[in-house]
Amino acid sequence: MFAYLIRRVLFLVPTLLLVSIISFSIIHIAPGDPAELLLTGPDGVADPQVVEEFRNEMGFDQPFYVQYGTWLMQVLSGDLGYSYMTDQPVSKAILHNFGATFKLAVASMLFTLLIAIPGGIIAALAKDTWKDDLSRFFSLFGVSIPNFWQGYLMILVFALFLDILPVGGYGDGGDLYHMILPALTLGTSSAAVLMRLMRSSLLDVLDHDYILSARARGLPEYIVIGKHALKNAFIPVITMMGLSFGYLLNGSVIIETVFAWPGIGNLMVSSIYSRDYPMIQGTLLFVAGIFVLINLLVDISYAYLDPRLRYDKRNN
Amino acid sequence: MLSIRDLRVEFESPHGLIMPVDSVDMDILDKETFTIIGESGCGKSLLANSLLGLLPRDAKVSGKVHIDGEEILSLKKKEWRRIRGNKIGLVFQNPSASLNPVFNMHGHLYETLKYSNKPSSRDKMVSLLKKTGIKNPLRRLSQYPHQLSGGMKQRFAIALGIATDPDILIADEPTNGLDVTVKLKIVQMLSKLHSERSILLITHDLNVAYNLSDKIAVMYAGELVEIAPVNSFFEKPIHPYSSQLLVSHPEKEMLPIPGFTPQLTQRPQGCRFHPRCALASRKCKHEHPGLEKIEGERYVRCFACA
Repeated sequence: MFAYLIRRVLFLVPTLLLVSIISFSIIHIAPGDPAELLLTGPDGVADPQVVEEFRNEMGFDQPFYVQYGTWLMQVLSGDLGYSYMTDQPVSKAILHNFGATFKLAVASMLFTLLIAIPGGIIAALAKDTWKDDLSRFFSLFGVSIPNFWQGYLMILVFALFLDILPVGGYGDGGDLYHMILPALTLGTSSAAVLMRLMRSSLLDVLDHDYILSARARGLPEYIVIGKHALKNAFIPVITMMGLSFGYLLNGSVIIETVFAWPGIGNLMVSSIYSRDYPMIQGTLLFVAGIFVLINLLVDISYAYLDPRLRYDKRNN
Repeated sequence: MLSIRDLRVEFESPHGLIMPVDSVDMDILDKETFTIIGESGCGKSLLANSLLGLLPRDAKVSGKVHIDGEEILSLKKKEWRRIRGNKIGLVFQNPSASLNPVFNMHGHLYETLKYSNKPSSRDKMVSLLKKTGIKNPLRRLSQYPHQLSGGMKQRFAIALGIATDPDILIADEPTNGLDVTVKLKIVQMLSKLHSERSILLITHDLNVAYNLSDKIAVMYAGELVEIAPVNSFFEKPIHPYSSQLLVSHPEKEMLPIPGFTPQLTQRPQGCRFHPRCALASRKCKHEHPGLEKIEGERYVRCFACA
């Protein structure tokens, strides 16, 4: 298991390298010139001479692979560089915005789990009853309505009509009060999907002989369901949870925009608009790293849930 | 010990009501091994599961089953727990499927002992594993089902079945899918358990039945067609199906029984075996024979031989 973990962590390196090469290429293929954008003030485009000098100074005139090499060496020495726009260190901006995204992601995930896990279990145990129908209705509703629309609807109802929650913003360092609406909005669709998965996975497990066998041994029903069935049923659910959490941590651009939440999604989009190369590269690299790490955590939890997946010699 | 009267299991199907288990009457005495033999699909396993209230919700079970004088078919859902494990233990036919892949042997045994209020000490577990012929019991306790061989899983499934010390152990095809040498060892092990408690053995393997049973019951198309003590059964089977079953055995002449087992939805009128029977008369085609006592402890369902 330990050797397996080391291997997985080492595997992060080529993954991140690939991500950075691809993102670097795409940004450079895309039209738009950071030098011009940066030097364009209220008086219009700056003197071509000045723009040219700036390009020279920043290395924009170098071939693409030289620019990538320079950037890579800098990153390897632990420096993500400075934003072209704000001169702020990229790492600082990322950490600041990621904090906001992380808070929102955790809140959304909690909401998702609170709805999806009990909902899915109840739906499976009460298959084909009104409880099951109700959960099916919620799921269909949750996956069908677009996030941004739901967000505006929530603002309309809770912020404008009822006036009990704020319209948006980060509040006092992202307090609960400001977090409720965006978290509910983000959590709804992932809860809908996860609830269906929980239901079908549990139904599938309940059909197995080992459930019948556990009952035949006289185990009480709460042990049969709560231990024998759920531990098996959670295996696919955990994957989905990991994926959902990964997406949440990458920041939802739409929801962060609707609710003016200063998260990593917002940072990424604004840096793309302004061709802020170091910032784009930095956020993408960070986000990719987070995604891979979440997947690693999912794999570790598999090994905990399913002994057949424990990567050790005794398995064979 | 266990008495079954007029036990029926019915299901609603698109082709009407089907009755995979039909009017079964039988008695299992204390410390007796009672074997039901029959082809696949004749209703043996459903019969076993119905004794533990483990049938799917849409199954209709009727009749009377008494264990130690208590009628159990009318028990409420919650009361079944008292019977399961404690009174009747069940070893399922496919141990690979009936062991939970995410729990090790210790986990399986621990909760089984705990919830039947038996001491769940390590010594108790080790002695159960030893009893079922599992070597290195201490090391085995920490292993998971996928780390065990087929024979080992079957031994363990039997150990789980007797862990709760039931009055009756139902063993559903305990030698199914095992190779000959492993099968022999499982049979030897079961024959040692034989003296401790009643066993309801379900098998289609005549060798296993011969070696382990006190009494044999033959099941055909949901009904018992013959019940007899083991020796007299193998010396002189009475029902035409029983005698054909014995000669169809590979070690005998291996003469297959002509025709096919009738489907649940298309059971013949009269005696269910008559289309395949050499002795069938007009009466067999139209009237349904009952299970009649013919001599001593022998019962048979046949107009031609009763």
